Amino acid sequence: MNCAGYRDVLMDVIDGTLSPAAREEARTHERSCSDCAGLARAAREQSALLARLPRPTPPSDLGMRIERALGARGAVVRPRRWRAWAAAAAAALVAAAGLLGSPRTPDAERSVEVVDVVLPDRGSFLGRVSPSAENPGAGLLDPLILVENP
Amino acid sequence: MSEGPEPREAPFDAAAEEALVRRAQAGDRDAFRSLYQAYQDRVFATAYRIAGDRETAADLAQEVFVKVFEELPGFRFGSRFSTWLYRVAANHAINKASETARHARLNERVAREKPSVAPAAPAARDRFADERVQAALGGLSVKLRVVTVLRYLEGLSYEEIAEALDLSVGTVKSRLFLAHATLKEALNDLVKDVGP
Repeated sequence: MNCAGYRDVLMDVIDGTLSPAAREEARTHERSCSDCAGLARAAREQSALLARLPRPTPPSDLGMRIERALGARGAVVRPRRWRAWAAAAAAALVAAAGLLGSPRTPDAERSVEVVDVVLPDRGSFLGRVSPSAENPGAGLLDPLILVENP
Repeated sequence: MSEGPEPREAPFDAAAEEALVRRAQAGDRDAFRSLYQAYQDRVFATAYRIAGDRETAADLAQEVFVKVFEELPGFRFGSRFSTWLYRVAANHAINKASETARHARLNERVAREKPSVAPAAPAARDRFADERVQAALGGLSVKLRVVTVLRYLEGLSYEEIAEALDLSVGTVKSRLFLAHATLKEALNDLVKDVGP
């Protein structure tokens, strides 16, 4: 085995996945080539060092950012402010009616959408809207995450 | 299959993962939420190691999950969802890194980064090692950096990396070899300082 051949199998050398015969060939080459032996040693040390590093933790608000981004891409497009206010008021009324009236169906639970609701001068929040069986044009709104509340 | 670094523990077994993905494909947003909550740390970590800073990584992770959400209906289980997710994450991070060429300025940024926003580490010794490694990774080309991150920091097998990046296993190994050769100088002192 020459240097080029050794370097072709270097990853298998450090993983220990060579066949016994190939492993013996590689060891023979290492004994005669300090460059390749040094590279194998460095690769082993590097892989051990890298594998030991802790996984960096994401920012605590990453989940909320994902929800907001998904809500913005969901079926309910983030509306203009006055429309949001109207939509929130309407949804709240429907939600109240829903609480008094019909329970949610499993189908409605499966088709919830996350929306980003902006209330003028009151902040915004993420909510889940489930279709209303009685009024397909409206929905039941559950607040999920308070985004800001000045 | 290859040996080498221990694979990081998966949040779901294959059957549970597939069941969640199928529910998410049917429009179950709670199922999709369970998926991103389980995988956001991996996606963030991959993006961070490739892009080099936390804010960019958070943006990338957010964009990856939106992309995955949009493309999920077309996912046909040709691979595990997690492998596909790594594919989306790695490609997105590669594109971003190529667009902005942020890695060229990585060393400066890592040196300036405050300890309070550095990756969580239990001890200063680990944080020091983490920053040095991050700087060394920044010295690799994006192609070499990605395979190094997926192999050693995320614990993927050669076969999974090949599938995620649409490469042959031989190409994955040759890129890792080049990465080791390139990192030899950059990490030599660190290995001596903190041990392998």
